[in-house]
Amino acid sequence: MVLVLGFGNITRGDDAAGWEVARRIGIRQIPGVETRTSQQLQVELVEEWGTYDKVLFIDADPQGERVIIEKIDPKATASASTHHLSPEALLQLSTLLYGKTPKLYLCRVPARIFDFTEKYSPLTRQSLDEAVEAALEWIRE
Amino acid sequence: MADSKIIKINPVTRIEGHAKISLFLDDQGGVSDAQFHVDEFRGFEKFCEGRLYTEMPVITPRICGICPVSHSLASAKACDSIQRVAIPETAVKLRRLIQLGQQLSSHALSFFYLSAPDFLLGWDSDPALRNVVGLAAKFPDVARKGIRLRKFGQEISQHLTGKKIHTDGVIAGGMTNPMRPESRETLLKWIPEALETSQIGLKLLKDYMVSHKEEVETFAPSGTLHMGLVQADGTHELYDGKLRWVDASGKIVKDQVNPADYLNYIAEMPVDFSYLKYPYYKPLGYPEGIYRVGPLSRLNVASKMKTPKAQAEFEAFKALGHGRAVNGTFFYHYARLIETIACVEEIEMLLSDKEILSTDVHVVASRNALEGVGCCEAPRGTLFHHYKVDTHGQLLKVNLLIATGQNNPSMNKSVLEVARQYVKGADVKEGALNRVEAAIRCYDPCLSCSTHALGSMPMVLKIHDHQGNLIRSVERN
Repeated sequence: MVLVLGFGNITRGDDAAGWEVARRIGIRQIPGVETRTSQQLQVELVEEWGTYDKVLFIDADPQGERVIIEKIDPKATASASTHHLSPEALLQLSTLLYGKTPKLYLCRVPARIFDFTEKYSPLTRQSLDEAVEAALEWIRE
Repeated sequence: MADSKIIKINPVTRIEGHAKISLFLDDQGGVSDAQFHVDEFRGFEKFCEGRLYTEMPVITPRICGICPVSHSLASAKACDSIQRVAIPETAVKLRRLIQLGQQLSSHALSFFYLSAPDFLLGWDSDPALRNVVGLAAKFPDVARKGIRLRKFGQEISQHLTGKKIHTDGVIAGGMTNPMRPESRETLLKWIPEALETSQIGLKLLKDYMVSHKEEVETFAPSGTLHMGLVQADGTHELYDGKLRWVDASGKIVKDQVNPADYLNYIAEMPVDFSYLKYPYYKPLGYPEGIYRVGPLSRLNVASKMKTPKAQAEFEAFKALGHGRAVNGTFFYHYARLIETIACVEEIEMLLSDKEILSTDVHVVASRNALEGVGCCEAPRGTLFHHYKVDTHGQLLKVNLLIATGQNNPSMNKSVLEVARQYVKGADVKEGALNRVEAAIRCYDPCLSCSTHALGSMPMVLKIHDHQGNLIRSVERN
């Protein structure tokens, strides 16, 4: 079983990229793939994700120049709270609390504009298709 | 401030949102003043002008990812008032239920994730591990239980509206959907576990209060007024009720004020170092009228609780004041955990009410007034939504008076008190700075979610001399 989770704030411009990529994957209704969206990473996720073989987070990356999918390793961070819970910290939590963890990957979508808008910057708009393709390839692997 | 050095803590970690603290040192290295800054500006009040008032219960939850339900409720109540409708009894119960779920979730977040690391791992422990991850490493069972308690609160929202965050099932005239019988059964099964975890949290805190008695009692202890909603007989109330103020001695200053009349009793003063204004109790003026809201204040203004287990603990809480209000800022944590138990008990009470399954959850009405005020208790304190509309229902003016804003003057007071106690000179230890931050965390301020793009949020300490030169900078990631 595979989980694809897009997260970000959909009223903050490019921050909606994760949602949009997850949505585009979700409408394909791929067997064995569950898609979700969330405002932010929720700590409760660690209780549930033992049922998945691999998980892909999709998020906006303000420093990114192109779409990247990278493997995440567990790591504690000083800013660990629910508003600033990093994928690394979430994986660390999961390891400490439940032992069993899925293989976790992060898809970074280049992003530039985080104002109150529901429009994407040109860079992010161009990157959405690329991110969907990269995520689909990751699912097939 | 001519001869002062400045210590800035920016951003404050483990609170919801972004903020910084500046400490001003005098020539002897003592703290002469403190300022808690909020540098974010949201502008919701302005950009909502021109929208239809009925959109507000869906727009305003976006203000926050931790207390969206409170904004939904205050907004929907303001809309009910504009429509001059009394919503169905079951809709009130469902609104109470979703509010209790959020309260539980938020309180669990505050205690188990943000504050427990200080108590269980130590104020002076490694800041890189003094967080929920560090807590999980050392106390995995506590962390697991905390996660599930928070999850229970969010499950209520999920079952009632289909969403855990930014719910949109609370609308003008009631609720969009009734409760399904299977949801009721599922949620009832959570009660024993939620109660047990709440009591574990309470015991952890009470043990800490015993072992650190002096620190707890001297942690930002000065008094202010307290404000909160109560029922007609003074019972603790979250959804409805009237406003009551008590002073630091515990005496009732004003009681049974209709929240719609809040402007007669609350004034706001702008300050030049923060986007958060300084609200105060108008009849006493500033600074005598500084008041606090939230769990500590709700318990200080209440005469009793609704449920037995919460009532028993409430009596122990009241005893701490020896006849006065409980003014010590640390006791916000205690009050929060008593409310957590109250939430679980009240959730069980509501779920056990057969009327909760009634499908009569919404009334349809048009605009019947040009103004409406909605008020409820958010996890962090009393929340007001005040709308003025034209004859078409378009918003002409929006005023949102938010709990964290009302606590702003007293947060400054608390920071100053704690800083004076622990900070001596610019060469201040990290554990002392953590205590200054902890004074803010007692209030569990929610400075609003903005964006959550990839990136870290470092803690930066900057110390400047009286000429503004940077003499020390410390950053932790």
